[in-house]
Amino acid sequence: MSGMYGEIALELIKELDRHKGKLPPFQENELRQALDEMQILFEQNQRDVSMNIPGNPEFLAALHLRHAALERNKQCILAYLYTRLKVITDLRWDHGPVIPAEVRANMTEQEVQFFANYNKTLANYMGSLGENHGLDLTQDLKPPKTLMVEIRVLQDYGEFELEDGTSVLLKKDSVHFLPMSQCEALVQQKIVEVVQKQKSLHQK
Amino acid sequence: MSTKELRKSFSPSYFALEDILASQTRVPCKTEMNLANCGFLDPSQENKDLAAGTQVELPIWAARVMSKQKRAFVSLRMPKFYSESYREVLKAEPAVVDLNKMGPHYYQSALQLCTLPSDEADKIAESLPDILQKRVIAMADSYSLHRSVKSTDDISNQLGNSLKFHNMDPLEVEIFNNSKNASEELDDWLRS
Repeated sequence: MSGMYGEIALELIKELDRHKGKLPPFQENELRQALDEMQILFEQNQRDVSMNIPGNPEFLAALHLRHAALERNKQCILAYLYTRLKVITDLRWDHGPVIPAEVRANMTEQEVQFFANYNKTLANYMGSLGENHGLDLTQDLKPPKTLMVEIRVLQDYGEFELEDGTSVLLKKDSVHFLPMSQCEALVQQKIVEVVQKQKSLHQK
Repeated sequence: MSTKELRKSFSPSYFALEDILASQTRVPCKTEMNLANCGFLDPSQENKDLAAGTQVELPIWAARVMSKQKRAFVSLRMPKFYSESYREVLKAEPAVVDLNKMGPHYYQSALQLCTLPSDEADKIAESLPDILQKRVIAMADSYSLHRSVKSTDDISNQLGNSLKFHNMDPLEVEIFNNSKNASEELDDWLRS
């Protein structure tokens, strides 16, 4: 005797639930079996509808149950595909434009294609921001903790005047402590880099 | 990130995994009439049809369709863990019950069960906020939400009123983790 409808599709959901926020291998077999079950359910309902004595409630039960099972399978399959795509879009923000090889191995061809398209769309959008400079939205996902930031100069720049009128001499390899808002442009132009502190004071 | 919020959310999302898992909880049903071609629902027999008066267990999503008031093919009872006797236990000693074993999505399943046609539904709906509230208070009483606490099992609580980590429903685990994070962040902020 076969079990209850929708069991295979539920396996897909359980598998994702076991790997919260990660990408397990794509379960093509199970997906196909769930689709096959839907096909059978649909054909059985078609057959019953065409030959049924209208309004006989004894037959209606199976009809309703199969229809609910169709909806159930559909929800499971869509939720499975959708949740995987969510994980994949999150990858872009956490790991940048290149997918780690071990994750890529678990993706389908279509998912790889989706990621490439997502990448492209995001890059186009970011390029359109910030008056021709572009703006990397994937940077600074967390608000800055401090107003001031320590920077190291990468190339000789000369005098740099701050908003308060004072000026500093930006010489290669010198280190300065400047307001974050004013050196962002310098960072983008690769004239200076932010010195990564091992651990900020608040984080212990 | 907003996408992560969406995944966690319950009712607004058709794609919520938790919702799908919670609606798999089985409900004891009794058939009200002969059901043609439904024999497979009762694995103990081999008939093609299901006779009136047979007991079967259906997942919530199926029970909902089969028990619609206008056309009730089956009548249903609430699952054992939501019955009056279990509700009494939860009322008397909310913190000692292992909801993880009874659920595992105890609250989420309950929310769905409440929408089914049953006399018990209202009573279950009524009992839920009370149970959750008492258990969260027990959680807060039992464990100081300090950074050194990895899980609630770390502390052997002498008061006997502790809510064990492995007895928690996913919803409670989430409340616990969020509280812990918030408490740590407050500590950090006060110290800096």
